Amino acid sequence: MMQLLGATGAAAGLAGCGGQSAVETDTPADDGDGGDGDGDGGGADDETPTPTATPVQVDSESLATIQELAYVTNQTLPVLPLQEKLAQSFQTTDDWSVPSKDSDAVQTYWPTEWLPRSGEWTAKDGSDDDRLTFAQWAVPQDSQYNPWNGKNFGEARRMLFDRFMQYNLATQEYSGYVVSDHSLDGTTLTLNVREGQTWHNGDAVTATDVANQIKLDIYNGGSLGEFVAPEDDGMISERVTAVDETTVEMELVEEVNGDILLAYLQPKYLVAHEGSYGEFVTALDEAESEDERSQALADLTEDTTPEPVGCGPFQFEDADTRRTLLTKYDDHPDADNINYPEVEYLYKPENQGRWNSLINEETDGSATLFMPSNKLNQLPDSVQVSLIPRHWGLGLVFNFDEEPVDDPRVRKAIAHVVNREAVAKNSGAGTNSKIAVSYPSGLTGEFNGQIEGAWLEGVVDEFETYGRGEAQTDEAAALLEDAGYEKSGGTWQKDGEPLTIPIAGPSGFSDWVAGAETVVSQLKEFGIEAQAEMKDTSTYWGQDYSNGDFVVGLQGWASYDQSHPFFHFQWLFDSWDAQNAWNLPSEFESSVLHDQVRDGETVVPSDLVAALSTASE
Amino acid sequence: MSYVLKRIGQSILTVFVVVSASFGLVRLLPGGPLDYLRAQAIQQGGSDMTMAEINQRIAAQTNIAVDEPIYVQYVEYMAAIVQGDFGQSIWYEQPVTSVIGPAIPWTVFLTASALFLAFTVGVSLGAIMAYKEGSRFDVTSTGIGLVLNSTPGYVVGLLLVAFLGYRYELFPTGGRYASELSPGFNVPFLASVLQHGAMPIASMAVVGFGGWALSMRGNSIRVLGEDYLRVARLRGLSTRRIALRYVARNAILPMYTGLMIAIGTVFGGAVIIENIFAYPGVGFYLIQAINARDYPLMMGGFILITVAMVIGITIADLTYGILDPRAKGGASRESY
Repeated sequence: MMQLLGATGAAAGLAGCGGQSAVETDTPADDGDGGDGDGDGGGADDETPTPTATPVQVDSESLATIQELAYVTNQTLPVLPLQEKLAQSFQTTDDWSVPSKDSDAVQTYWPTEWLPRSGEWTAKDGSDDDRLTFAQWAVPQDSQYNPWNGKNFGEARRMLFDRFMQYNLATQEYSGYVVSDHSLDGTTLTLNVREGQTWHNGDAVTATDVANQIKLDIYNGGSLGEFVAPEDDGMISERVTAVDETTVEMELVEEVNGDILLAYLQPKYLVAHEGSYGEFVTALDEAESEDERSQALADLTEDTTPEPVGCGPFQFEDADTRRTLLTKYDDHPDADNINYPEVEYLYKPENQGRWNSLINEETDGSATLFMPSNKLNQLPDSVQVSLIPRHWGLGLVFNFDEEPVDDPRVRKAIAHVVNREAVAKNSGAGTNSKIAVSYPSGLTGEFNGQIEGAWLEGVVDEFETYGRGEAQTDEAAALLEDAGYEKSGGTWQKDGEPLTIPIAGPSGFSDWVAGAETVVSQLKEFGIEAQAEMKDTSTYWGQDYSNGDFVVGLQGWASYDQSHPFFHFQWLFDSWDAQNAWNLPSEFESSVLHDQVRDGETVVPSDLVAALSTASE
Repeated sequence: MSYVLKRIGQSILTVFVVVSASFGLVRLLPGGPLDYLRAQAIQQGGSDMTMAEINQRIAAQTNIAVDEPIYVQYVEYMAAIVQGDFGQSIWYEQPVTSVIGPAIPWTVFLTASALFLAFTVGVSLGAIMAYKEGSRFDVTSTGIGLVLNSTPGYVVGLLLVAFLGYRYELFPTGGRYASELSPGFNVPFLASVLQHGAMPIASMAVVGFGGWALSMRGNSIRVLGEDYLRVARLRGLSTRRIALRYVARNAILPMYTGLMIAIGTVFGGAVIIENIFAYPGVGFYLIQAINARDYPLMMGGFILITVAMVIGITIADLTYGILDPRAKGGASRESY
């Protein structure tokens, strides 16, 4: 078990793709046990029969905590996970040699950035295409490459910079890249920098650059800060240090689960070239007050870098309104794997343009892109489409400050009514890119049986499915009746008032909207007055959602691109969103799965999340 | 003279009111630039950060930008724009003038070309239709003109980009000119500019000429029935002289105001078209600014569009009297 956990641990996402993924699984569930009766939510105590969970002894402290958190999620439904997303990834094969769509190699996130480096995306002999062509979202000449600014961060970064490590989703293994090796000894994490690598201006890539990258990320609110300097940003410069030309040491405030550390480190691009960002690092390191640090941070986040000094296999050449052009950097350690001189990123700000560019083969591939079935049918045979898990997907989030969803019985009734298979089917628009969640538990891995086969092995029968591919109306009716509702004239009512569930969401996310409309129609059919209230994307995120001005909202239910459950539970129970947008209570009531993890029915999930970050395997 | 001053004063007041109202209205838009960043990260993926980290960053950056009360911002903004300072774009981290400035010539190129084409084709067609009033040509042209005049430019734009752009690959689907070329007065560059501008210009011209043709037709038919035309014919003047000197001039005259207003829309007329064709002009950045809640850039775009429109109308008012002496003196006598 421990081995398995280690292997599955911390699937760091190599990067996102647009869209949502959903996995849904369901197993027959017992009726809900204790609700999340807590002060904040004003949630009524759940009086429905409590299932008798059989405590299961597991060897790993880490796995027991994961299962316990999954169980609490499953029994209290702080969110309702609907589906897991598989991202569609495209590669053209007429001029290019690429691995087949089912091979492990394309399961690496952002195949478009890793396959060229490893010599698995090469120009075919006799091909007259000497330029690999992809698409980018921002106007090329307006793009910039300061990741801490964040705005208009050009897609060409994927070839201009190297990531710290590689992660293969199929084998779930890390391997070194610009950070070639690492070791964790107690509270000291040591990183070794790949030797012989240079920046595009000829400077050697050193431990100072790597330390700069880690420090700037932490100064900007990066999660590693929780383990390095949780209380005092002034300590960061002492705890992240370059001890020699090729070695970085990070001193942690306590022992941390290695998989979680790697998951944070792996996806980072090395951008913080000392010659370009050293002044910002110095200003932040030497800031003597919060004000000085804020000013230094503002200077960094307002800086734009239109022509970056990179360290990847391609260097910046130029950018105009149409495309960004990169040329091969022959001194890169992997340059020999690449047999074409140029890469370009064409400006394609809309999905429609990206679809058409793949159909007429203007572009040679796309790492991830949602393409509906009517467009897929137009693709030439030479374009292959593979599906890559995102460990993420559409869910319903509940505002615990709002009736009626502050009552766990209402949330569970909704879960029983919703047919997640139908939601995933409609949301996927005929592409099989959305998988219904089987066990709403906060765990991902529906696509490869990871949940039943690994995370919940041995305890899966204790988990409620709420009906994966059916509307369990009898169970829902019993829960609502228990909560004081009665059906009258085809509508559920309490004190003469109909049970009303408005579902808010961003109108621009078309697959989410399709999913929400399916949920609404299912709830209406059951007699709940549901409405889909879609708003302009910025209005939804910036106002309704952020201010907690919704009853039920659409949101990703997991931390995307991460497979380790720590990240999902941190998102569900200990994130800004949980506390400020969903107004989640700190305490929940739920029966116990593992009595070695907790002994009473009252549980503070965020404490378990904290324990998980340091738990041994 | 007092009319001119009064008219200019009215124009300045109009601009002031529009700018003030815009300033208030854009602040009512919910959300802010960082929310757009979050939405973009979710929608496009590839943020390389966890959801929690994105939110932490939003929180960290929100704390940096402490906003002043809105009335203070308003006073400071109005004082600044009078001095030509349009502020700093939040999204692009550079002065608004540096974002919009380089885009202006490209937008003017699109809209002015489209207007020129639509106007010349429309007026010529309208004149011929008037001379052939009641013929099959007239009836057919009137029908086509009505349909096109009622069709939004973006519909034509979407059709063009789908068929001529992607399916038949006859024209490029984005950008201002081919990347291989360096800007300058040379044939390949200018040809590329025309090729990239062809579909956006066509989208606007195709739906524009119908309206001009119908106006011209109506005006010409009215003029053709005037007594002075009968006199001209009786005097034995050539048909060509009558058509150009008597009919055309008098038929175009009422369209002068419309033309000046159309010229006033040079900046605002291509907002949607520029986005369809991924053509970075003023309208393109205006939409980007609205999405990103980039208030200074939005205001810069609105002010540019407003000022152009007000100038167009003001010039039309002030110069109409020169073209048509009957209207001289403005409001002091009955206008034409």
